[in-house]
Amino acid sequence: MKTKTSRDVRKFIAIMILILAGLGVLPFFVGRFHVVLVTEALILGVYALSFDLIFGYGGMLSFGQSVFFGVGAYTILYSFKGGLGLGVSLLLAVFVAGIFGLLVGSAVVRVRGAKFFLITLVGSILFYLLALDNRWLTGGSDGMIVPTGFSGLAENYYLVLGISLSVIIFATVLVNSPLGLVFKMIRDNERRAGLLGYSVGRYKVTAFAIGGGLAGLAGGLYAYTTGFASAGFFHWTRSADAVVWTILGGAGTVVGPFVGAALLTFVRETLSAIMGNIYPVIVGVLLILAVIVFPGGLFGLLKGAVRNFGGSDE
Amino acid sequence: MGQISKLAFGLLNGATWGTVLALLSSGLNVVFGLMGTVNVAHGSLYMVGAYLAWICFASLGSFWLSLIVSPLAVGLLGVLIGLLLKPIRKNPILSVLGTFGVTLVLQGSALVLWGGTPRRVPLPLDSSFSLFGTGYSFYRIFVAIVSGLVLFCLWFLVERTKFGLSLRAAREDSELSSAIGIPVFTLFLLGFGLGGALAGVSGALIAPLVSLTPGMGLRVFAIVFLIVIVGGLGKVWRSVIVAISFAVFRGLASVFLDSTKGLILTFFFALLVILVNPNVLGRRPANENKN
Repeated sequence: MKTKTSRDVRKFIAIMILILAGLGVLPFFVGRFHVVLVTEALILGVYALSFDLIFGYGGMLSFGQSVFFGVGAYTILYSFKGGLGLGVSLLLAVFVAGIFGLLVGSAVVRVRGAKFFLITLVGSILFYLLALDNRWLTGGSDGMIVPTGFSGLAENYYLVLGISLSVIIFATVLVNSPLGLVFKMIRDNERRAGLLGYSVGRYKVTAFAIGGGLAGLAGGLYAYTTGFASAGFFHWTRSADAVVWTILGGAGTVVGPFVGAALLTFVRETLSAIMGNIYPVIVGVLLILAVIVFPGGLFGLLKGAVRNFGGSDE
Repeated sequence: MGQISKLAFGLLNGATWGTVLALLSSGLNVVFGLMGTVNVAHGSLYMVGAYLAWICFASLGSFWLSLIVSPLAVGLLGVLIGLLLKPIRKNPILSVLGTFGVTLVLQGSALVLWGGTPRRVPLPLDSSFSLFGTGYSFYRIFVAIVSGLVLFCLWFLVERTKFGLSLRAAREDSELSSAIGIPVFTLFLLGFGLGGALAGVSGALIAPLVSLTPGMGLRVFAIVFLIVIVGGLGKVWRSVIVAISFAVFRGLASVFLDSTKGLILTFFFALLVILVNPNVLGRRPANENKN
């Protein structure tokens, strides 16, 4: 049993190193279009992971993740306008969005189940409408240009790749830390966690703040990369994207959200060229299948495939 | 327009829109309140009902047909969704995700089939009456009357018939209910059918008053879900009161401010209600609050 697990881990690490090496040399082999696409997929992967920390580990089905994404994007915008550098601006995006996560989290954690879904959905609609209504601040649906002083596609790609890796390492450490274990316990049995003396609400707010901060980082990177932010960043369909990517990739795993975000970004780009409007239908069908037939998500399927691949069973 | 006629318009439009919202939310209430399953696709069923009305008008030549076609077809669709949800119906989070998938499929199919350009159905009753010097369409009054009638039938069905009694029993204790011979899963499917039929008829009724887009269902869903939750689960008449006050409030706010600000205020107050009193939403709110 033990050897089997460690063999799985070794195989997993080997595959990860292969993927990393591939990503590392990518800009030398593919064109501009694909470099941009992979950059976008990585940023959206960070965004999906930020939702996964709240849902897959914290057990809260939040449709409000776009709020933090939007806050991060506009923080970067105003930070650049104020003349701050990229590093400081990104940290500021994480911080401000994290504070939003803390505040929103404190307001909503008392609510549970389907009502939690509703209240976060309505919350993100409210933020979207506010962003739409306050054109002086956000530029409304037309948006605003982010004065980035952008350095170049390949440099930006390596920046995003480096940040994504750091986020993956951070998240892996977090979910295996004592704090991460408490998150999982609350997700699996909230009442028991409460009876054991953990202040459930405070942990949930913490999960929200961390998830919010990471979503802010993703929003900031996205605004930096595209040079643009608009009220649409707050729209709840953007929250729904994170939900779908995470569920399809595999909720409650660190790599799953990246798999989901990357795969669907590619599917979207490929399908929109061939078949136009069919993409949402396919996503819907996949989501239904994921929920009913393979709850582990694609990453769960992949792990199963890897496990069976070398014949390590028996 | 003077202030008084503005007020009258805000009130009347709010009240008509409110009865349709009440119809929609009681459809959701049957599925969510009486069965505990969240059907995110409810709004999309309403969208399908509205497009069916457009098809009845454009291809079959009569809008009025849709008042029969929409509830039947959409009701059937509701039953199919119920069948699909069978394995996950008791898990609120999975049912939200699954029905959100259904929403994407319905909305995406509408986009593929009927395109993204807004469709319009002309008013089937073109007469109007004068209200403070401005014309007010009779069709809106007709909508309010039909919605009221359907709501009364629904109330009768849930509160005064054996079917309604079994529905309510299944909500209280589904295991005990099936032990005494109530076919709980059949009821579940019938409830989904009923919810679908209500969404279908609401869509058909509203079709001549709005422009139809594939996204219209999801936009209305959050409002309808809010109404069900603020009004409390299982009680049809409370959803009706909340729906009408919601729509009147929004109608007045839209007339006197603008429509975005009106929506912001309405959502804000609804959120406050839920946050201040989260147990408003519970199964037996009265008992929970006493403790």
